[in-house]
Parts: sequence; structure tokens; C-alpha cells
Amino acid sequence: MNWEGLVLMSRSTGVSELSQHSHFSVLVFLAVLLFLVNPFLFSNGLSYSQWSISHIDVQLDGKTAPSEITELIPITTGEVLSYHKISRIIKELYDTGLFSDIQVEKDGDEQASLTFILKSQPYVRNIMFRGSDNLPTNKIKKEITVLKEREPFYEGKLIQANKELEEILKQKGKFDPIINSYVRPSDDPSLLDVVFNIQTTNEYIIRNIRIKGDVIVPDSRLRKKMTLQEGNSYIRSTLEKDIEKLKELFSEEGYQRVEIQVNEDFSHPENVVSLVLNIKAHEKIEIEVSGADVPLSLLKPIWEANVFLEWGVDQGKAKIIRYLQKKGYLFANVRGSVVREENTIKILYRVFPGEKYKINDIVFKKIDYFTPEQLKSELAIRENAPLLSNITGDELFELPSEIESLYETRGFPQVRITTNFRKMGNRVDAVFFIEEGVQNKVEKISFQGVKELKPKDLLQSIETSEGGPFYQPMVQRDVENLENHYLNRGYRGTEIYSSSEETGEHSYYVAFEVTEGERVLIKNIVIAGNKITRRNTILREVLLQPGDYARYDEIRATKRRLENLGIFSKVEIEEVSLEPGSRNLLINVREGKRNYVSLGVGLETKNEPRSFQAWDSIIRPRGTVELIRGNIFGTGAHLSAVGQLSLKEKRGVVSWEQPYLFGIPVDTYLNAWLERESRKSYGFDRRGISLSAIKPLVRDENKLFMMTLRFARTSLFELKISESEVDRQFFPFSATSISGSLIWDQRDDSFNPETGYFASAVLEWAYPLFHAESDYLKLFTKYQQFLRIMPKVTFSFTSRLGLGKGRMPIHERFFAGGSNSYRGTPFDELGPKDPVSLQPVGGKALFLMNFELWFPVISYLKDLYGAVFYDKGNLFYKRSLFDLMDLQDTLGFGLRYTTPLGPLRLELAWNFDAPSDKKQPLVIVAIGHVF
Amino acid sequence: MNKKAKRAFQCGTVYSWVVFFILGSFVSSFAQRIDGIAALVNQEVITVTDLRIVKSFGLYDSQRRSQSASLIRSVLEELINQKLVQQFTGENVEMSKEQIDRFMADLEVRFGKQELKEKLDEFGINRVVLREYCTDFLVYKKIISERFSRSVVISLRDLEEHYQMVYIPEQKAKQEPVKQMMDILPEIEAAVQEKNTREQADEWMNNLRNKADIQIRLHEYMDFLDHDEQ
Repeated sequence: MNWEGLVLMSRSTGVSELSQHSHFSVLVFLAVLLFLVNPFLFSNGLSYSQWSISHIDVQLDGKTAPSEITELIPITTGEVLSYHKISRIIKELYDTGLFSDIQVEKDGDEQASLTFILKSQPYVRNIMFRGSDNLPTNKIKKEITVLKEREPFYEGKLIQANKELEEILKQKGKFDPIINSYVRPSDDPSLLDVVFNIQTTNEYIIRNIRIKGDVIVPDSRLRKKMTLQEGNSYIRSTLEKDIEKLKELFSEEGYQRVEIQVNEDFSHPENVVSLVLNIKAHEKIEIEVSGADVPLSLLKPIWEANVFLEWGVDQGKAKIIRYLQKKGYLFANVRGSVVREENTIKILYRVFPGEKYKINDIVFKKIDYFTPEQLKSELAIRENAPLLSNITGDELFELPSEIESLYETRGFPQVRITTNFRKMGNRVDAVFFIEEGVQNKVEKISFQGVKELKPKDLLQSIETSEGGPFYQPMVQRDVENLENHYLNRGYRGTEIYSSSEETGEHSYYVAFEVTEGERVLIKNIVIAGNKITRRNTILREVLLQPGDYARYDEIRATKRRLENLGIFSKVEIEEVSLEPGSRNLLINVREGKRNYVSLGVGLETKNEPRSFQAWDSIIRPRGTVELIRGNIFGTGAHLSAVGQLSLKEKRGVVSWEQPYLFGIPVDTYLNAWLERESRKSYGFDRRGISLSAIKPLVRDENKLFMMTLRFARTSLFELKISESEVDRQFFPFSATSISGSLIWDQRDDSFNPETGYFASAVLEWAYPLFHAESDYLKLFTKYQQFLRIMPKVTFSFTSRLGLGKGRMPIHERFFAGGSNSYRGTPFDELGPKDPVSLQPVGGKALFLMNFELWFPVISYLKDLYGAVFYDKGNLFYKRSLFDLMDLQDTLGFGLRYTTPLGPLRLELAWNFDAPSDKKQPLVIVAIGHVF
Repeated sequence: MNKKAKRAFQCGTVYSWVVFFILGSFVSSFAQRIDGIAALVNQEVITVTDLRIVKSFGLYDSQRRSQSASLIRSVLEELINQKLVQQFTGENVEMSKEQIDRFMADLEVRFGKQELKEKLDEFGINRVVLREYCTDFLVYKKIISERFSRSVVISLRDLEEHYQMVYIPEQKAKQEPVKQMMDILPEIEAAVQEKNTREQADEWMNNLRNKADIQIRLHEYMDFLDHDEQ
């Protein structure tokens, strides 16, 4: 063997082996190095607590979110974030109510890209029931409380809704229901339908009803009272009503505390149920009142619950005394006692009513701080009307505590009131001796910690004043007033504490410690929830702009304005925190229903019945149908169509209503109408179009100004008076006019007013335009005053004045007479008549006054009133014939029954100026006030 | 296998690992879900970060932990109970500043200053925020204790049962001497009191839960949380 060769061979082999070995070693070294370096170079991010944001992506329901959603996330690129900050952002986003889920993904380490994955909060579009043909599904839908259409949907609610539905079905006699519920998504990811599949239910027939326990009322009488009988289907809600009826029966027998428990025994194969009613009557309560006529219904409710005997007796005494005082037995006295007999409790009241008195006057003595008139005004005591008392007996005895409270609020903590009575026959003066004591006053008010606002402004925002009375509850109220003051200037988080210190005799130093919060700017206004309504429609109601301070009063006013649009079922405004000193205003709206249909059937009474004769068609049926489509084109406008039909008139009106006119916030109505009506002396067809704008004159007050432009074309199809240039049949009369109206409405209720006043004035100028013939000027004014002169006794006065000038056809002239204007004549018949046909021709001058007094007639019929009235007035053909000495007088009386739409009236009226052949009284049947 | 083949195999394996580590690094740097709604309790949010903070600082009752559930799930259930109790009682229960200070000091002792700081930095919170979490936990414990401990009645039978069924077996398992019952009566009483209080509290909690709307979405974050536990 050649050693050199071998050496060479081995060397070359060694080199080759060496290089392969080295190659492998390098690879191993690299792998180890990468393994060690990997966690440092390519971290999963957990070891980093804060990151700088390089990019933010927001996705909503799988798509890129619109800008108003992105604006809700209060972070920007370049910002440093941490887990905790992200956690806070997630909670704030969820609290907006817009999202059902929020997830955050991070990509990167020190420079991270964040993705917010949001899912819209779904709302329930429809709730549907399947497999329930004979169930009242609309009613059931209303009875389910946890799930409602147009409300947010949460998964947990479905289980609760299932439980509720099960109970509801049982109440309706459908037992053992198998309910499957599921949600069905719609094209819109924020809306879904909830479906309840009611697969089976069992109905049970009542096999028998047994009544056990204290069957004091005979079994047969109890069973007769019940609706459910043996053999009927068992419906729990009906049984519950039956139990109440049985309790009433027992109560009538004196067992007010009766308890009735029901045991149900269901038998499944046969689907029958046996019911056992266990009656526990408890003691019988007998109430006896001697010495005065006091209704027991006043005292029985005290004993329906299990009350302490002494307490119950005292309650009864107080009620009896109050009842008698109200009737004028001012000095009534009552003694009460309890007698226990076997299973019976007798409550005995011995009443000493004393004499009956009328309260003549209320006199205050020894007062300095108030004058008697001021004190009466503060206590709302009206001056006496002749023969009438201005306060009832029970109110009189409440006056001392009211006077005491009033004085305390004025800084008199030691006021003492003594009541004496000065009797004068059957009348009595109540004399209150008031020892006012010394007044506590505020010597000084200070504000500590106030840097941003002026103390002078803060002083004006509170009720307490230097030199004014000191009253601790008022100081507490002032803390709220100050908090509101700060809120209304955009401050949030302000804390205010008050302290009071006596500085001398009856003088106090009041200090308000203020820790001012931060003043917050509105950065963005974010609108959500509007599917149809345009963004601008909402934005024009918003009183704040980005960059404004978050004034709380403006935010509340914005909410009111949005609600007043009438297109949203819910409006929520929230402030979403951003960086310190800045918030987004989130306006979340829920759009309401847009389509309304209403149908009405009623009666109209234009003619009056002739007294003592058979009525001839005085009451006519009338039908009305109304269709409304709201929020047209998302602008907040409404379109409505109304049709009215009766034997004497037909009317169709189409209206367009919008809250703005050329960008100005004025309620605007565009109407077009067709009508046909038969009146006493003429019948007409009219078609027309009008544009009206209504604007409140003063913010928050019922003072309105309305302007109307009108074009109308009227044809008389029936004319029962002599024809003239303007009064003519079949030849249309066109009128274009502009009118301005002022309305002040300060009544407490539009349909059944008892206090307040109403005033209106309308001036209409009809001018010849667009080939119209009209050329007249018409003024109509009305004033009404309502006064409550005693509890439940109301006096009212109305005056009306109408003046016209120019060419006024019959259908534009004034008419009067009938149940709603002048009750001494039939409808439209006041004033001049056609000499041939004797039908009313109307006039250009009208003056009417109506006086009315209505009062309760039967104490337990609270809505029935008696009325007396006096109407005075006349209608004149021309203004030159207007004569205040030539007015007719009518006197009458009647009954009226109050309804939500006004009183139903039945009246008799005597016109003292009626012709001799028409002296008999007129009978009037009408609904609504005469005004 | 000849040498060449063997070498080739070794190189191939190493190359694969290198590629694996390189690719794995990229994979591990892809977007990861790091936070979200772990649970909703009557529409009040518990985030994943809340859960992690409570677990990290031990702000839960470890004795209530269910054997079958994971730690993170048990912590979530505790947090849900805390929220329910808070909502039920409103803002009416307060803790004194001293009690909270004492608890915070105990935390510092338990973890040590350095570790506590690291934990705070991990979540980007400071002591003020930690104090809020601690206060919620302490208020919850106080409510449970005040509501039930006073009303718990311990009978002699309870004591004997606990002594026989719990104490003696425990001592034997630890190979420690079994003391007479009278010698350790206070400890037995305390243990029975705690057990009975917990049982009553559990019953009350179950009632609250049955009436509440609770949604748990923890499963969507388990990958991230498992990684966290490692």
C-alpha cells in the first residue's frame, strides 16, 4: 500500500469529511441560534404591555365601518395603548347600546395594528307565532314584557320570553305547551325576527269544583257568581276573576279579610282537572256608625288588609271627621271602640256632628311678614263669591299645617298657629292667630373652590340669597341648582357640598364648597339608528355643534326637539368620553311606525230637536277615515288623507305637513280639499288649496301665530235665498286670501277646561288674484275665560266679535245659532232672514256672549254636572246695522256628562226675543263645549 | 442508510427546523384576538382583560374553584358572582380606606415589589386602578360575609361531623397527630362556619343567577388565554 497515496486519499477524504461536518455544524448552530433568538425577534406581543398604534381598522358586521362609527373609538394612530385602555374602550363602546359584540385584534408588537371587530346590536323587527291558529297572538305579544318589537334583542331574553309565554298560555287555558323559539336574521344585520313555534298545548276540562273551608256564603250562591263551571274549559285568568268576585261576595257579608286558595289536580290521560277552593274567612268585620249618616264604603277599605285594630279605628275616626267637616260639620267629634265577639269584630263609631256651619271668612291675625291678601294668595285661598264659600271644612283644618310649612320656607322655624272660630248664626269666621317668631336670615353666602365661573352668576342661579330667609332644605335644593348651572355650561364631574353655620342670633353663613369638574367640548356628533330619516333632518334639531361646550340644557332641548318631530319612538342622547375635556355626542334614535289608519263612526247634531215633538233626523251618523304616512323621504314630513261622510256633508282632505319651511323651523301645512255640504239656506261644493305656517311666538308658551294662503272655488248647488251678484247658483265664486291668526291658549285642558283662558284673532284679506272675484276683509276675535269658583264649580265666559267688509258671498259671511254658538235659535238661524224664503242669509257683523256655570249634581256620579247658561248676541246683515241695544237674550239649563272628548250635553233653552209662535224652549243635544 | 444519505437526512432535518422557526415566527406575529367581551351580566361587560387582571392578582376565592372547570373559567364565574352581588346591593356597601390599604400591602408582600410592578406594567395599570379591582373584590367578600355569617347557626352535630369526616382524615393524610376535638374547637367552629356560610351564599348566588341574564363568550378567547397561562 502506498502510504502517500493513502495519506493523500485520507487527506482528501478528511477534507471532504471536514467540509461536510462543518456544513452540518453551521446549520445546527443556525437552528439553535434561531431557536434562541426567535422569542425576542418575533414575539407574540404578550411580553409587551404597551404598544404604539400604527394603524386602526374598524369593521362593522364584516364590512368597513362608516365614519360615524369609527369616530366613536377614541384613539388615533401614534397613540400608546395598553390592555387596560382597550378594556375601557370596549366597555364604553358597549354602553353606547349600538353593538352586541366587540372584539379587538392586534397585529404587531411595539408598533401594532389594531382592528376593532364590531357587531351591530340587533333589534326585534317582528315577533311571530307559529302553530297557534286559535290563539289571540296580538294580545299575547303585548303580554310578553321581556321582548318587544323595535326593542334591542339580547340572547338571554329569549329564554325569559319562553318562560313568560308558557305562563301566559297557562293563564289562557293552554297547558303543557311545547315552545321552540328561534331568531331569524334579515337582510339588515341589525334587524331580526323572533319566532315562537308553539307545537302542542293541552286544554283541560273542569271535572268538578269543590268548595271547602268557611263556606259562610251558601255554596249555590258562590257557584252562581262564578263564570267557570264544571264541564267548561279551564282558564286560569277566568278563575282569578272568579276568585275576586267570590271575595266581593264575602266582603258584602262583612268578611273583608277572606282568603281563597286554589288547588288544582290535573289528570293527564283524560285531560281533566279537579279544582278545590279552600276558603278561610277570618273574622267578620262589622262597622256601625251612629249619630250621623256616614257611608260605610268610606270605612270598609281600611279593614281589607290585616291591620292593627287601634290603628284601623283611628283611621276610621279621621275619615269620618274629614267627611263631616267637608259637609260643614266643622266641630264634629267621633268616638271609636272595638267589641270582639265570637269570630266577629265590631267597630263602633259614635259621632257627634254638632251644628252645620258655612265658612264665612278666613282671618289672619298678628301677621307681619305677609299681608292677609298675600297669605291667602300663597295658600291659594280665593276670595269669597257671594253666597258661596271659598274653602271646604276639611281644607280649613289643613290650613294650620300649610301655614306652618309656608312660614318655615320663609325662615320662620318657630311659627305657632292657633285657630279660633267666630260664630255668627250658621256662619263662622276662622281666625288664625299666627305667632311668627323670629326669622332666620342668611347673612352671607360664599363659594369656595370656584375658579372657572363667576360667583355673581352662581348667586343668581340659587334660591338662597343674602339677607333672605334661611331654610336648610332650600340650601340643599341650591346644591342641585348649582350642579345644573355647571352642567349647563359644559362642566362634568363637578362636586358641590353645602354647609351652614349660625353666625349670630338668627343669622347664618352659608358656604358652598365646589370642586369644579372639567369643561367638556363636543368633538363629534354621531347619529345612529336612523334607517330612513336623513341625517340632516336630525342634525337641524341639534342645538350644539362640534367644538361647542357640552351644555346640558341644550342637550335636553335637542332631545325634546327630536321627540317633537313625531317620527321616533325613542330618542337617546349620550356623551361618549374621549380624551380629557372632549366627548362625542351620540344620538341614538329608534324610528317609529310610519303608517296609521283610523276609522271613526260618530254622530253629528246640527239641527235641534223640536221640543215635545218627535225628533226628525236630528242626529246623523258620520263616518271618518284617516290615513297617515309619516316621515316621507326621511324628512320628518307627513302625508295624510282624511275622508268624512255624513248625510249632509262629504269632505276629503289631503295634507302635507312638514316641520320646516325653506329651512326655517315653522310647522307648515299644505292642504288640498274637496267638500260638499248642505246648510240651512244653501248647499255648496268647494275645492281649494291652502298653505299654512304656524310658529310659536314665545318659546315654551302656548302663543301661536298662523299665516294661511288660500285659494278656493265654491259653487252653490242649492240656494234658498234671493240670488244676487255674489249669491248665485251653479256659478263658481273664486277666492284667494291671506289670513293671519294669533292664538293664546292658557286653558288647563282643551276638551274639559276648568281654569285659564283662550284668546284668538283672525284677520283675513281676500283679494282678486288669479282671476278670483274675492274682495273682502274679515275679522273674527274670540275670548274665553274659565274660573273655578269652588271645588268642582266652574264659571265660564265667552265673547265673539266678527266684522266683514266688501264682496262677501253667502258661504263667506258669518252665521250663528245652534248648540255651539247661540242656543236661543236653531242652527244658523240667528240674524237676518230672506224675506221670501225666510231662510237665514248670514251677515257681516256678529257679536255673541255666552255665560255658563256648571256644578256637580250627585256626589257619587263624579262626571255628571248641572249647568245654567245665558247667551246674548245677534248677527247683523251689514256693519252699519250693528247695534249693541239690539241683542237677543236666551236663558237655559241642562245636564252634561264629561267625556274625554268634551261634555255630552242635554239642554233646554228659552229665547226671550223669539217670535211669539216660537216661544217654546229648544232642546239641545250636543257633544263638546258650546265654545 | 449509507453515510451520504445519512448526512443528507440530517441536513434536511435541520433545514426544515430552520424554515419552521422562521415561518413560525411570522405566524406568531399574525393578528391575534387580545380582548373582547368575556361575559355579560345583565348587560354589564366583563372583558378578557378584567379576567386576566383578576386572575393575575389572585382577586378571587380560590376555595370555590370547581375541580372540573379550568382556572380561568372558575375565575370568570367568580367575577360574574361579584357583578351580580354588586348589582343586587347597589352602591350601599363601603370599605374603609384602611382595610383596602391593608389588602394592597398584603398583595405587595405576597408578590414582592418587583413582581407586582411587572404585573401592573403587563396590563398597563397603576395602583389606583388596581385598588378599584381590589375594592370590588373586598366589597363582595364583605357582603357575603355580613349577609350570611351572622345568620349561620352551628350545631354540635355539625362540629362533630366536621371533626370526624374532615379533620381526622385530613390529619391522617398529612400524617400529623389527631388532636382532641375540645383542643381545636375554635378552628373546627371557624371551618364549619365558613363552610355553612359558603353553602348559603352559593344558594343565594344560584337564585341571583337564575333571575339574571348571563352570557358567557369566553370560548372565543381560549387560544389567547391558554397562551397567556403558559
